[in-house]
Amino acid sequence: MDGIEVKNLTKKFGQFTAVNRISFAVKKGEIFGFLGPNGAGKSTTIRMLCGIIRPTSGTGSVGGFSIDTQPEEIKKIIGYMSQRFTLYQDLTVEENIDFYGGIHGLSPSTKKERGKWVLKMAGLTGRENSLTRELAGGWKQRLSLGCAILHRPKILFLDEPTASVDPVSRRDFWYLIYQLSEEGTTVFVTSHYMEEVERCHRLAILYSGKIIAEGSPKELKTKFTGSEDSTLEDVFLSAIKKRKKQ
Amino acid sequence: MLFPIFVAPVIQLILFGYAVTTDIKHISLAILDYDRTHESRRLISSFSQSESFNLDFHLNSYEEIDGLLQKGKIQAAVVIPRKFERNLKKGAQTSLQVISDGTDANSATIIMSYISQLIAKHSENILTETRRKRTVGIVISQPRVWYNPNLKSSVYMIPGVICLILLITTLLLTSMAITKEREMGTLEQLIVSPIKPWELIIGKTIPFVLIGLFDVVLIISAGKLIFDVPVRGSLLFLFGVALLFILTTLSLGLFISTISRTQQQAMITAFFFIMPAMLLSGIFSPIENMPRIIQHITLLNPLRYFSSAVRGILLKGNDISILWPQVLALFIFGIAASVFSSLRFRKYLE
Amino acid sequence: MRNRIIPLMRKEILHILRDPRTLYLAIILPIILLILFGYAITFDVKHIPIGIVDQDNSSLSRDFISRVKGSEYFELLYLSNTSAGLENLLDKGRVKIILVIPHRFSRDLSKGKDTALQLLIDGSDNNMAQISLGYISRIIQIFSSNIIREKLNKQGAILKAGIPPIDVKPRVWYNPDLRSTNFIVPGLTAVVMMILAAMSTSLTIAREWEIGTMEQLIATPAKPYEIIIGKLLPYFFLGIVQISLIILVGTLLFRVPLKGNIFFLFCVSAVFLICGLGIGLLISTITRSQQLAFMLSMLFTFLPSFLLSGFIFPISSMPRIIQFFTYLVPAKYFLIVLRGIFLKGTGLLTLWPEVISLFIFASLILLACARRLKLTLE
Repeated sequence: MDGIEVKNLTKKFGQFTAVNRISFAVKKGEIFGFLGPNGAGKSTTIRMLCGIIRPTSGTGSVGGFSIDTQPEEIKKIIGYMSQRFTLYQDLTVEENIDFYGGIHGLSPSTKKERGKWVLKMAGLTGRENSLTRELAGGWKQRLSLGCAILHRPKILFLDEPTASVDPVSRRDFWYLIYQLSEEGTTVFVTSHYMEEVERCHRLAILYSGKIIAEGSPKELKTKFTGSEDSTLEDVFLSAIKKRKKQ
Repeated sequence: MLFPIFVAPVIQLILFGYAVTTDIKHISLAILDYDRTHESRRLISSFSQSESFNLDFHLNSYEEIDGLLQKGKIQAAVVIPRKFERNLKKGAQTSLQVISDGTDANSATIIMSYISQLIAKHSENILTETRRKRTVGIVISQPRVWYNPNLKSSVYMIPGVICLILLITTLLLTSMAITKEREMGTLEQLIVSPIKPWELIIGKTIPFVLIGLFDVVLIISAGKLIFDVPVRGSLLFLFGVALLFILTTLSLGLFISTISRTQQQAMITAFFFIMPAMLLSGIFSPIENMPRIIQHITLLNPLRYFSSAVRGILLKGNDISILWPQVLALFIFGIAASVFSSLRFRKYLE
Repeated sequence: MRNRIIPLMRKEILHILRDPRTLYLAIILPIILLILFGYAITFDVKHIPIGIVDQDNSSLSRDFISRVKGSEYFELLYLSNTSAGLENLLDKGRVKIILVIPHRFSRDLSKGKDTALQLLIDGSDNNMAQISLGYISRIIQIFSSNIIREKLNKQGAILKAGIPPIDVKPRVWYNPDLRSTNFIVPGLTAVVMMILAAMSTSLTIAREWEIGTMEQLIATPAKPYEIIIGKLLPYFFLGIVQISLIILVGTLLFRVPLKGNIFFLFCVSAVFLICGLGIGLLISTITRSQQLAFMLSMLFTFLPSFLLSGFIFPISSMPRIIQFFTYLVPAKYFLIVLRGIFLKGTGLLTLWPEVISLFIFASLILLACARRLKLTLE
């Protein structure tokens, strides 16, 4: 079971309910998107799935492991690229790769081999000794992704991965994601960019902590706007309207 | 935000005010009385009646002194020799051995001086008694202590501490706040806006001026309430001088923010300035006692001028006629610092 | 299982090297402080400026004045026959003490009457005032008793109820030259270590929270204790470097004695370092803001270590309540050990109470950290 399964997952911060009984499932190799405005609960969900925070109630399993009782096992098989694609700015490209390789317990030879691969994938071969701080946004993004997949995780979590990155880089990035998906990696993406989430196999729309729509982009368009040519933005607005009526 | 502005200065004041004391009290003393006579016991009771000393140990042997001093159980030991009384009555000189723990040199000196004074007083008493039988006059000293009649060290320290706290607060707040904006990127947004550079600088620094002045009021009031520090001079004058000082520290904070990329760097750099400034200001140890070269270096320390001005105003009621050198120095520093850092900051903005 | 602490440690070392200001804090600041405290800061009081008003102008009064002049403690700056302009001198701070010899000085003494010298002392610096009082009292006392002795000798008296002065023979142990350097330098270790251990640690952890890399770390298989050890270990080593530096510079340059066991010194330093690092860690669990972390560590580690540990200001002189608080300052115990080892040559036999206290502190702090970390991560 290399996917994600979530049932009635809830997270409360004091009185505030950030995530309210959401349920969904992601198959192996699928690219699943979480769409929603800021503050909808996307980051909270991803953090729960990665074992960074504990859920208040509900169950979830990532790669077959329970997020409540087996977060340590989960961390071994996932890759996480956080919102601010956190690399260490004062370290060089090579040092960042080296660090994440070491953290994931790669043997020196594996580390070297994968490191070379990441450099190639990110297009940073020859720039190993550049300070991360000096890289442009697109390079940082790819390097961040590279560091997240050094250890060939089965499941990849991307939290707002293309924020503040130019459209060309964004497109290149998604090319990489598709490749990973074809190789069997499950990808869970959160974003508030409508056109970006369009590229997912399936997606869920999150609003005020609740899932108000779920399905493939085509399905959602048909269901909420009646037309396959509408944009996800239309879907989004329509779904919210529906929600408010309820 | 509230914490550094309100709470931190008061905590610092209390810490400094109560801890920083050069009063020597409760000196733990041991006495070894080899004589055990009426006169030796009289001397011992002089010690035990004195408020400065805690007569903690009556020893039986000399060897005990070593252990007690090593463990730090006593700070000094007085040895009354045999034949003490006999010598006194005979008119021969008699010597008391006073052993002090020299590790704390400063305290040792003061302890010695206390003991000397006590023995001098005791001698005087003896003299007074026997003098009635002779026609000899003695010299009595009538000390009158100005500005600080109870010789409370807090009175001396607190004004200096006020200055120190002001330095720490304004410098840290400014350098860190502006650097934080740099780190977060919000500063760049301001640069892009139609605001003129000097408007930006003033806008960024005015809040800290106000905070600084507020803290001056806060700490002086706290000083008066908690420690009884007098306010003998003109408060308005004090504010004026404080304003000049704040100008300097804010400029310094601005400068630090131009050479620091991260808040961590800013803080460490600010700290680097604060430590020497603090130690070479004359607040903790007198400048007159420092080596010549270092005394010259302290001329570059704004805190030196500010602290002597504040002390003068609060304790002696000095006004500008006496303090004009300090005011002038602070004025020069303030102007120079603000011009320099403003230029640097503008350059950075562009 | 591959060792994850090593990559974490290596990363931290890179951080420190890439941002040299932390290194400055660790190494350069102690050197600056050593120089300042070694050369500049001295509490020895000498050359106290004094002014004398001699209203008597007799050979006796001049004799007295020459004694004052001859003392190394005073510097005679003003000598006048009238008391005009007296107050101004004190106000301006030109002199710290004014002595007024009344105009009947020698006449009274020769007639066998008491005479009073007026002392006007600037009490604002109470330390100096106290010491000046002491010195002047001694000078007066010696002068007084010399007169008496001469007088009495002239009268050919062998005193029945003799009144020679009680002479005080001072003996200073451990630090015969009363060099304050010997006192300050060992203590500097505690202050410097606290700055490094607590301030830097709380900053570096808060920094990772603020930037967001901490979250990233938590999502990896790295366990919390590994993350922490990897972060703190380099600072621990820096602390050891610090004490080595102070020992070197202190003994070689400032000739501070080191009479005790160096190995013992290093061991206790290690325990103290753990206390400091632990406090820094604790602070970082309280706030994720660098600014607040810095302020808190300044207030609760640096200032207490500087002010309440007995580093400069004697604890016995503080108010009882404050003395009570000093028991909560680890630096206080460390200072006793430091001074004991450097200046008195004492060892575990004498210092075991302080060593045990430091152990207890370290354990309590680490326990508190463990609990808080568990809480904050959930």
